[in-house]
Amino acid sequence: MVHIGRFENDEHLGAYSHKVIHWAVLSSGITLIVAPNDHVPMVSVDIIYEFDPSEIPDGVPHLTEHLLFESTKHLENGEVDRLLRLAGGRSTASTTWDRIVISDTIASSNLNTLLHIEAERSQHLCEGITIEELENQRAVIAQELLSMTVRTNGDLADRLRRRSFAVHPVISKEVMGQIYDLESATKEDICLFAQHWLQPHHATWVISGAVDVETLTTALNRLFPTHSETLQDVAIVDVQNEGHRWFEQSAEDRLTVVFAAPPAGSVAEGVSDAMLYSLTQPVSLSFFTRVDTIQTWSENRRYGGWMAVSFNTDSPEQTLREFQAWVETPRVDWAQWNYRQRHLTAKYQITNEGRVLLLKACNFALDHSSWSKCFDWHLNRFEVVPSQTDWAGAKHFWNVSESSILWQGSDNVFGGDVW
Amino acid sequence: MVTLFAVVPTFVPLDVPNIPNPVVYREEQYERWWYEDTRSEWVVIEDCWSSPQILSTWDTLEPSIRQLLLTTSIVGMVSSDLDWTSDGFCLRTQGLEVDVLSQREEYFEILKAGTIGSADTMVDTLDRVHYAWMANEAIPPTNFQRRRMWDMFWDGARQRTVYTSSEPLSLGFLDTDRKVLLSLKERDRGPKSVAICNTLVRPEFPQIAVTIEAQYKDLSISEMRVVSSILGDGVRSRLSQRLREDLGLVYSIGSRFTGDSVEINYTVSPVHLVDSLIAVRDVLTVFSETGPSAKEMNTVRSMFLLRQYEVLEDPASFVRMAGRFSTPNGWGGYIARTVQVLEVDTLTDKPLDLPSLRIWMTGPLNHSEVITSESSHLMGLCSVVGAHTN
Repeated sequence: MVHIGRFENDEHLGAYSHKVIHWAVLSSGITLIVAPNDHVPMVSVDIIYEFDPSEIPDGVPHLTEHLLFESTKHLENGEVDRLLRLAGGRSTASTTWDRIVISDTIASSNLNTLLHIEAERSQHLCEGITIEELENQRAVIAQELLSMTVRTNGDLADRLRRRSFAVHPVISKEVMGQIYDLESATKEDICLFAQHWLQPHHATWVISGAVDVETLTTALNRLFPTHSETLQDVAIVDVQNEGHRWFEQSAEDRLTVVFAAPPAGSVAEGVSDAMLYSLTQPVSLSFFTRVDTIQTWSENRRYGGWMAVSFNTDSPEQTLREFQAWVETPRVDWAQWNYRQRHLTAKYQITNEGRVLLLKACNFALDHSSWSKCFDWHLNRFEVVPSQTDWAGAKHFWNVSESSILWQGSDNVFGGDVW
Repeated sequence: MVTLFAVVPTFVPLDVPNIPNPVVYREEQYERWWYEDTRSEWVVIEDCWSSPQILSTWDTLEPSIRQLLLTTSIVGMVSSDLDWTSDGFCLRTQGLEVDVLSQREEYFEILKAGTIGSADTMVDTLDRVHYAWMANEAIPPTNFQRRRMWDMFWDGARQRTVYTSSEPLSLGFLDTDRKVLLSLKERDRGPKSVAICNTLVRPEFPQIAVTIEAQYKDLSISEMRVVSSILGDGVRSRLSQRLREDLGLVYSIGSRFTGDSVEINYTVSPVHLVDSLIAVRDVLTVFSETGPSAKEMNTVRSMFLLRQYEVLEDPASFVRMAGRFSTPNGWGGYIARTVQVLEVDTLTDKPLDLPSLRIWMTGPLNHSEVITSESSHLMGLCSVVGAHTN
């Protein structure tokens, strides 16, 4: 039983929205986004360092991310973690092909400790790196690679991204780095990367919690030097479908179709997200005659991205034909989609970490004069079915005949290259 | 090297949080606590049932009830959790108000029906194989016995509802009208396995899952919780510092307090298995010789209080924590007792007895290697190797 479409009396929703959101570019070049919230005396901080991976050796950003938790010029090995924990905080980080995201939480009374540590990581990482730490983190990442292979299809998404867009200079890049990448990465590679890209003018700080914006801004201005050069946008070409075909011998029958995705925050992205979501709903499953389960995923950037639809099917050719038919006239339940938006917004609006997640999505989607609308924007996306123009803007991303396709099964029915 | 605190400002110790008071409603077999939360239209409701009619085999019912509840229709996008406790169970549902109320009714209908499902579980990943194997030590009762145990439970069950929402909700309790036909004789569970090192050979996996249960018999529950945190909470805990950061043997290793022991978990490549066991043994030995440092105790205090604030922030964690205590001020008392252990410093810089260990390993194990290593390197760590092959 599924209840959908209860949106008749939404006037009260405004009362839940925490509308005060601050946005600024500081003299150091840091883009700062803050949503104060004093429910508990804690602060969540995400620092997003964006980089252009086209000229960076594979695996170097990920290795650098690991080394952020080792030594710096003024902090001994392990002190980042130990100091933060003593101060009632913690820090984790993750790397994708074009960004390192540091996610911190700390007691608001000790926010200054966190700011000092982040300034130290940004400005003095290289001087602290030892050869021993480098070797250790190579070994740890090797274990991380191995642990991904333990999980069923644990590295499938990453493999598909790299190989489906092999000619694209950016999204084809390695994240983890293969063993040989790790072995060839030098301290000089790490230092070059950190000194160029882990800098305030490449960083966006997204903050939610019990924080005084003026005090925070003053502290950041004191800790990070003024950056005088105008930041040039890195020109990244649009992501295009490359139309590869592969076959992988497998006991599992799985057909995966990979598309170029629309730019983050665009109307086309919203339409495509709704289509991806609808594909996973029971009504879609009944449309496909030979499919057991459907899984979808996507990653979007300002210059585009990628999305994939994966079917467990024993009849890949028939499923592909049915998928083409579905794309021609997608069965998108807009009431269900709107319900999902409302559900997720209510959920994420509660905690600082959830609010940071929403703020990050707004950073892609809204112009800077609209920040006060951020949380409502999540609620209001596609309250009505998109117009024909919106459809047209999204539909060309869903060109099945130009997509890349991986068939995992016992026979090479598509005649694709063997993986 | 520059002194650390010349660079990083001195931190302020965290304050002990104030736990809010609920609006309480009580009748004979039912109790309801409401905590106001106006941050969004999110609603979390937890219903807990407890009963004095509990047998020692009570936990064998959990897989059946979990599976039974999984067959329920899911309303909208609500999410639910089942917590099995020593004297009953709790069912927690969160989402938008109308959905949560509907889902709760669905669950009540299922529980009223009184059937219990089969205990089949999916077993395919390394973790699932490993934990399913560890959990299967007890001989399960027959279906008939399980049914009687379930009926007996309801005969004396009390219910408590703890929830958060922006406004009070009209919530009823589960009214069961069960007649217990037969009583079930209490059955001794019997002594635990005498083997302290158990292996399950599964050559199809590339890594080995390892669980080590460390029992510190002389420590109180609060003290053991502190010990677990120092050993395995975070990347710079003693175990992770040694096995991951210093030796590069594992990607992650951690420990948790199970209520009566410290459970250490990690996965490791076969070539590093013996080294990893030796490293764990060395960490435990050094820790027992010196005890925790004052800095470690301060860190545990900060992390414990941070965790309490995180629970206060998240409504699902909040109702779960609040509902675990018999009175609304129970949680505050628990915080005070734990902080007292950390501040009175009964553990700091004092040697501890070495813990007794039980070890479970699942994966591509080479028995001869383990046994040989046991004699030459492990010095009694795996003194008995019980081999099971699936």
